[in-house]
Amino acid sequence: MTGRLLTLHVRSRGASMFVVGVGVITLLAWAAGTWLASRPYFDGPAARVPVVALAPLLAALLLGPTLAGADEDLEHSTPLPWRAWRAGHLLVAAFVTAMALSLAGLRESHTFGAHALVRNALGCIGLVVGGAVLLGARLAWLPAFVYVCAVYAAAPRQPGTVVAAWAWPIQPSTTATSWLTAATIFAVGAAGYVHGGARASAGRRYRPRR
Amino acid sequence: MRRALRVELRRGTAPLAAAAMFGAGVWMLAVHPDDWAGRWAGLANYLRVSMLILCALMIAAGAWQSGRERRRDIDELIASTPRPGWQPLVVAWLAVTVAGAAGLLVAFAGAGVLVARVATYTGGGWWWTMTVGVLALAAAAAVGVLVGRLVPLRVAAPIAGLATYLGLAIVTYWDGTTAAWLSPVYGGWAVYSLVPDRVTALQAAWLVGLTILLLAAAARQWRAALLTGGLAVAVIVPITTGPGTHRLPADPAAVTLVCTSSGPQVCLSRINAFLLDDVTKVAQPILTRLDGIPGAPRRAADQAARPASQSIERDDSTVWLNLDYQSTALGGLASRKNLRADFRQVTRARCEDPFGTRSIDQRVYRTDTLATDWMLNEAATPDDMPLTRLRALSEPAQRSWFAAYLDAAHRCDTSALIHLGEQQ
Repeated sequence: MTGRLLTLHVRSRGASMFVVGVGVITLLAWAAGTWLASRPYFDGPAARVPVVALAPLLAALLLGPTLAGADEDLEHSTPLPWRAWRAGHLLVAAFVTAMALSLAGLRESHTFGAHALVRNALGCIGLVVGGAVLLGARLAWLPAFVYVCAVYAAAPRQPGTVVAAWAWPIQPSTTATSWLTAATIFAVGAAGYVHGGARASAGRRYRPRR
Repeated sequence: MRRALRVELRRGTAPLAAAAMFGAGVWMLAVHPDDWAGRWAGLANYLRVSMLILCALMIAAGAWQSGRERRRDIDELIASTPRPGWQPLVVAWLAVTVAGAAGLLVAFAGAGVLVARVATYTGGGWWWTMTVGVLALAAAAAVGVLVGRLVPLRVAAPIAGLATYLGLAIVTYWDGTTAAWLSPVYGGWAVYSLVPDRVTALQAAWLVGLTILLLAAAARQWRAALLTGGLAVAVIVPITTGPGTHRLPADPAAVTLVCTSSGPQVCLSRINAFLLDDVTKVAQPILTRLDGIPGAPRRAADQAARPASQSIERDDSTVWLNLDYQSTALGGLASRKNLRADFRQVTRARCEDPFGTRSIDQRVYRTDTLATDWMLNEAATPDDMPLTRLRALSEPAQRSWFAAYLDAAHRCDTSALIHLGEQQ
């Protein structure tokens, strides 16, 4: 019975498209990272900052639509342990994303490579999941997209604890503060999502007539 | 049609697109004022450099606008109306394009006011560079409209925007490939570089053809798509078979020298002439200090006007100043320190091997630093005894020491340079 439910859940959430998308992003990230690192006018593996910032963001954006079903209110009314299902869904998705993306940065993994990709995957997934809790799955991509793009475009290049805390997506993986922030965002987003799930779409919510 | 456009401009994605483009434009201008300040050609070039971000935003806005009917579940309702399907699509695209371009142009108009106050050169075809940039925004919005029509995903807009950014970045940073002319993004070359008129005209034709092709494909007007596709391909061929983005010639009118009329001569190219007073205040005291010393330069000139055949290192009579990134937003000199550092070419020991590699004894470096500090009249720190001792000499003795240094440095006479350093 659980196996059938699992198949239905995976199908209804569009998991296959998510997995294919993450695979494509991993391949593109690997190709772009290799190309950037091999350009003589850039500074080797350290030139992979755009890949490290944007590939996890793209993967996390694809996760957004999988965080809710066609009708959240209807799903909540079914006698299933939804918290466990949501926790499993999120942890498996985060694990698959982080592992796949880390493959793209195995060469010199400590210099804007696999380690930073895993950290950013956690942080971006945390933002998307938090977005789903606050705005619903349809707009879950918005906070992560705006935040990472703004940080990527405007963060100062000078190191510092405060900068490392808020500009975590473009920090080297050796900066402990950036890991702390990304892990905190993931933990808070995951806790909110596991507890209450994605916010139901306002247009589809049942409103009794007065 | 006009009423529909008005409604789209007020209620569609257009207001958001305008706000986003205005914000992005202001931010881009604020990040690197040294790229555009004081120069019309610089402002137009910078608009094209900014296309890397701006096109991505326009594509995202177009995709979001185009996916609206599906998001609201009214696509079938609209399809059932007797109005031709291409009309609402074109109106939606036009609204996003007009709003996005207006938002951006307002931001750049603000920068234009700052440029107009000080600019000393108005030529160089910058107006056409900017016009092609606006056409690129229209093409980007059309790409977005097509993506929004084809991809039934809510995340289509942000993903299309990010993918555009990455794709344009790869084309832009590819080593001088001719295909880079197909991208609206400029590679950040010098403001006095002249993009051939032929290339600008072909880019305009390519972007117009691409826009119509994408809109026709989105509206499923296959005949129009085929026709404009043919036009686009016809334009691609001369662009991609022409010269690449490397070694663009300098605009001869922009690099015409404008010189000071009193004191040691300081000459700047016409496009940078708004900096002449500020540069003169820095350069003339140094040139005055060097006046009459054998082997020392007699004038300072803008590196933009340096003939390609003339080496910076081998020209004894002129100090070449790099002013490419030396302007503040209000048109002043950005860094006196960097300008003074350009004078280091005077004291640099010419000790390169045929491959241009410098391998110099540390003691020669110390003498080099001593000579540079004397030339720039740097304040001596308490522990800088050599400079203090050099300054303690009579003025003629100091000047003859510096002349001996220049002679040895130009010949790369290492032993003489070490000896001069140890004298102090």
